[in-house]
Amino acid sequence: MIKKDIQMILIAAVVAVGLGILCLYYLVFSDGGLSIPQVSEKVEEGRGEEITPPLATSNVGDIVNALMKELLDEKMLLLEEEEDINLIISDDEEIQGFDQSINEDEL
Amino acid sequence: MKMNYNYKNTFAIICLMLVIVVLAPVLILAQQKGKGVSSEAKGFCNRVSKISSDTGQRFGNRNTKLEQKRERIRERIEERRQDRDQRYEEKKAKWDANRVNHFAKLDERAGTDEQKEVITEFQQAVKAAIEIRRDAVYTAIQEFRQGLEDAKIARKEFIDEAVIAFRISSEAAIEKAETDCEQEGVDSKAVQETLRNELKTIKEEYINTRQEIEKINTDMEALITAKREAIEKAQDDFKQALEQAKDDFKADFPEDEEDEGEQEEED
Repeated sequence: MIKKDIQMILIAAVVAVGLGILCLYYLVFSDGGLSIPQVSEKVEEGRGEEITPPLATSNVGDIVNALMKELLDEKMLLLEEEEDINLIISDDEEIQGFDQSINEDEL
Repeated sequence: MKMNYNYKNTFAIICLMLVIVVLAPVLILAQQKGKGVSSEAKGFCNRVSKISSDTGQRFGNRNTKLEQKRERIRERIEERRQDRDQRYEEKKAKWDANRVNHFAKLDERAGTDEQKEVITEFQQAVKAAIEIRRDAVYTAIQEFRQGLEDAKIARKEFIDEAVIAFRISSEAAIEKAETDCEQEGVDSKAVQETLRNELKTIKEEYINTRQEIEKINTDMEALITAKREAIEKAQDDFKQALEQAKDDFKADFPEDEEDEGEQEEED
């Protein structure tokens, strides 16, 4: 009985190792295997600091100053629009990947 | 006797599995190596059909990956734009509320009808300037986004064209090699060498072509400049309008000079 168990364990181990090698082969050498996570697209927007509006006063100079701070707050947000360009060109890796469609080693 | 028979069978299975385990890596390596060098004269022509299908499959896989990436980029841009639009609205609401508080404080200073009129004119001038600035900013952003969309499409078309040319040329070269291999008494080695050189040239052409995409990237940088200039102008115009409104107010409301620097802060 014990002998039979050992035999079963040995068979299972051998099958597992064999399957492991086959899986490794598929992952490493087949084209559709490993999917490398794309990190370039995960560029997060650089959220600028929020500017807190000043306390209200009846002074026109203070009102004008508050409006000038609003400009700065607005400008910081508008600059973030430009980060979309980095996202648009983040397919560079995929475009360059076509180079590998021709495998010189197999020729 | 029966036990002995079972034992023998099991042992045979284990041996077989071990042989597989040992042979598998060897076979894999042999297969990989076999792809690289052909030692026999006919070797290449025997493999050319597989090279053709493998190459086609690789092009297909790369194309799928590129399309998937493009879709993720499109979704991400859309999300980010929505997020910025929402935050811009929140900012505007925040500053509008602050201005309402300022104006309410200013209203308290109106002792006469004339002063009330001066304050109202100042407030209207400020509101008009804000509206003009926000409209100009909105236009600048919309033009920038449209410009980026155009550049994105141009980039896609450029790349797609380059990839298609690369693929068609490569497949045509391999197909030609397949045809050559079918000829009587063909020199397999010569066919292989010709194909290798052709594919090398085709690949170099693709690399050179795709590097021209830098021009489109430069166009996108021009969009940044245009957007910054438009926003700069909108803000400069706003500052001028604001200064004018302030000067007009002070001219008609001399008491304000005395209050300069004093702040009736709101709790």
